[in-house]
Amino acid sequence: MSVITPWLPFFSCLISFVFAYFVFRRYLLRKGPHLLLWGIGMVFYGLGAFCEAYYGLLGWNPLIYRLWYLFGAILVAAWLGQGTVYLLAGRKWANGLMALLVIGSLYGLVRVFSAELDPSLMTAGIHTGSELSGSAIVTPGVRTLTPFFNLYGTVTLVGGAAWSAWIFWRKRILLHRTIGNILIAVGAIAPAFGGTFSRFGLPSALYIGELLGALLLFAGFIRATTPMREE
Amino acid sequence: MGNQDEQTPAKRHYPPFYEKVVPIVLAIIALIVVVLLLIILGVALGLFPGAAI
Repeated sequence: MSVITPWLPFFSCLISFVFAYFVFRRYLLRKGPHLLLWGIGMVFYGLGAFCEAYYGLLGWNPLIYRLWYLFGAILVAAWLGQGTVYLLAGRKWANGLMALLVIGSLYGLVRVFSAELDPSLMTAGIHTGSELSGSAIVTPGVRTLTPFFNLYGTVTLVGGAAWSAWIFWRKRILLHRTIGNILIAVGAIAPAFGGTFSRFGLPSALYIGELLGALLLFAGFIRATTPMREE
Repeated sequence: MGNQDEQTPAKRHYPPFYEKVVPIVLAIIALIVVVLLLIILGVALGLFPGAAI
């Protein structure tokens, strides 16, 4: 394992928690469920990254693994995306989808914490075991949940940010929001790209993607909430 | 008629760099999202065994 590998998620974790602090602080000032959900989503991001750093520095631990899979692999994108749903969709729709997400998340929690694990499976095949992967889950049906949550998260978070940027660009207003939303969309895509390259056996790709994602999401949020001088 | 011209609001513009770059970047993002969605859907449908996270 590369010396730097465990430190990449450690930095992702730090950035995510600092970002979450900024979002929660804005929530206390402005209110709005989208800010609360983005804050919770970034805490999930940070927890997932913490578990990856723990695994890299201290080794296998079943509790840490389950927490990583639940927060880092299943829930993070969907909860961040739910924040965007509250921002862009009607309150009735958002509440309905929120109820489904809570039920789905609780189901995921039960399935992940009751799953049988075998860490030796992570070193089989293309994965070298240097990064956490879902292969350690033996119980069938648990990993099947992940793409559904990620599908929802990608459509809402990336789609919502790109859609907002498009609307601002078409009206030629609020340039800082156009740029901020583009950064958010790219930041939300980055971990998915990292995951894809990781499956092709590229070491640390997932962790690099996650670090880049955290940085771009944070930069996008700051840009979108800070008007430019010339505006 | 002259008044009509004066009342027409001037079309807003972003700085030239952003006028060119924003639509290109958004098109690339849209393309990536479509590809990602197809991959995720494929994983959900079990078309890529062993590829799920």
